[in-house]
Amino acid sequence: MKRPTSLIAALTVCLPISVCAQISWSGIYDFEILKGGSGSQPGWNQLPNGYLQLNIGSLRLFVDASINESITVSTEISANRQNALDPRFVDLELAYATFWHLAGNGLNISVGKMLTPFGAFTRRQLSPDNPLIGNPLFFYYQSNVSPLVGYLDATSASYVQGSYGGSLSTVYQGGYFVGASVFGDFADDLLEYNIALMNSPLSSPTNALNEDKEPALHGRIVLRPAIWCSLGLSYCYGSFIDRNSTNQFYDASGGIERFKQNAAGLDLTLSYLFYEIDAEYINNRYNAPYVVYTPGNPGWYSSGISDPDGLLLTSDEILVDAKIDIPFFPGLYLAGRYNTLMFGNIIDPTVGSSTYGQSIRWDDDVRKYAVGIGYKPAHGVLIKVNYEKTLIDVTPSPDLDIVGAQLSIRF
Amino acid sequence: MWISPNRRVTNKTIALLLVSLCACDQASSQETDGTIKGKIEIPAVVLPQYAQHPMEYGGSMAPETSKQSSKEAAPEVTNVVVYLQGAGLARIERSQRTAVLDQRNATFIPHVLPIIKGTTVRIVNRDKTYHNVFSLSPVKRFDIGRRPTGEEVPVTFDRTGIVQVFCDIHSHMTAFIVVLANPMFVQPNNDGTFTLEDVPPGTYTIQAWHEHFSAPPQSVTVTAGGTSTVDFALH
Repeated sequence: MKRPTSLIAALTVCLPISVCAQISWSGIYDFEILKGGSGSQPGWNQLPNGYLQLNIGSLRLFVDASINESITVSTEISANRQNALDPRFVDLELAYATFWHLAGNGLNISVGKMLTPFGAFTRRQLSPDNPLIGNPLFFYYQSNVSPLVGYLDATSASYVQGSYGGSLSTVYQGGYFVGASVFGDFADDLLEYNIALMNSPLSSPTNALNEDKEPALHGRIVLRPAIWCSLGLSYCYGSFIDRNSTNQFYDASGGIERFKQNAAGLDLTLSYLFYEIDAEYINNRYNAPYVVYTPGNPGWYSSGISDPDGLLLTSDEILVDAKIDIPFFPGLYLAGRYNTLMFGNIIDPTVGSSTYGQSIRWDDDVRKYAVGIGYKPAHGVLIKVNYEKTLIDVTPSPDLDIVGAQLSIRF
Repeated sequence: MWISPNRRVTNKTIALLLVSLCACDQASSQETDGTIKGKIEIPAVVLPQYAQHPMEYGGSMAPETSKQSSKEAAPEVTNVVVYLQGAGLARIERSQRTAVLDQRNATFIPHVLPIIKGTTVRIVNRDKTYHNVFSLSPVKRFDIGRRPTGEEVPVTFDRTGIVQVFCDIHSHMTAFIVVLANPMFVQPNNDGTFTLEDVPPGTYTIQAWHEHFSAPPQSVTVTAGGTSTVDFALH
């Protein structure tokens, strides 16, 4: 009887200097079918309004190499059809080298393009690790802040996909950044740490040049007081504005480096027997510039506020995932998710607005509920069916709900 | 042999009787049963394994675990199971009622566990982290949930066949429980040789199972007190 093996190409090269390398590869293939409400348009699946959509979600190929017992190289190549017009059809999502055990288990170093250590969900975003189909709001929900011009008021927000450089989610989708991290664990895995210096903070897309002069600090500490419990504390701090000809005036008034993203996260995982709860809280802050849009140049190069450090845009996000494996039906599980994104207040800087000078929320609060069922008919094969509803605190509320099914095949 | 309850029996007497009984039984077995010897050859290639990466997305597992397991690992040929099929073999007295499947260093030990139908396997987590052992094999579907260090869970296998076992938390972990109808099975030594003793005389089908390689079954005739030879070249 043969098992459906993962396709591993193992290559052993023994050189005279006794260096041995083994290369292995594996992958995950996601296929989705989704039906969304008239307002559903989450970034990750590009649902057209109200139509049934077939997606080849993504194909992720992992290629790893052990150079020797102390050095490994890991890569992830992703082919994603969600934006077929994107010439970067295939992305090198991850590519990093790790130097292990520089001082026991307490000191290891990774260098390259890697995942941020911030938060817990980043490491369970792959479909076999995510009990539901979609991502949390902090991974994809675009709020009213731009990497080029900062705070987007009601007028400029409508140009968000145009010359304003898009808007930002709390964590850039995927969580991939370039830099170096130091990590390890102590006291028999009781305490784990990971501190990284990356090219940009959580919000900035890694493909942006992010030409500011300062690296961003990403970090996480995990405490495991019991086998069934882990508690993580995360932090990120760095400049999130990208240099561009449209914001060159920032340099004249202090440089783009003064506009920071400052995020702190707390995550808790409880698991025992057939039950698992993953909860995460993120407090996110931007010191964001505000550029007044006036048709015709050079009008919108001027700042809309007098504070050189910009507006303080804050948000709080809560994510709770619960999963129950059905013990009398091996391979079957039920899952649920509660996710909310709440925005803080600012003094409305928009001249001419009816709320000018008053305290307003800088974006509309969002809540998302999801329930799903998953089934593994065979090892490496996972089928999920999922319903999610998103509510935005705005009138009229858009029709944001999705019924979806996903097939993931790991090989 | 019957001993009068009125007669005083010393420990020495009992020991002598037991030795005599064993000797008689052994002599009888040697006279009535036969032996099958042989050698297994498998291709000298690097075998595919389940990759670890999807499980450790973001990189948190040092190569230490695989290094340790490879140092401890026996030659691949020891993962072959040689077994007999034939009428009457199932009636042979079964001495094996329990077996153990360990999890150490995120590896199942042993990787291949042959058992007789009806055996209860104690699944034990020896690691400091959770494991969640399950199988989706038609022969035996089970899921024991997340189990902490030292916890044992008994699982009884009532049907013959191959049961592939995984860990839901560490996707690279896999093992095979080979559930057989009779106790006439053996796993080869490190050099590939095997000896199957105490086989009742008769003609049987002998097979060699491996997760990746196979060879056609062969017919073997066992004579009382004789030794038959069967070699397999798996490919």
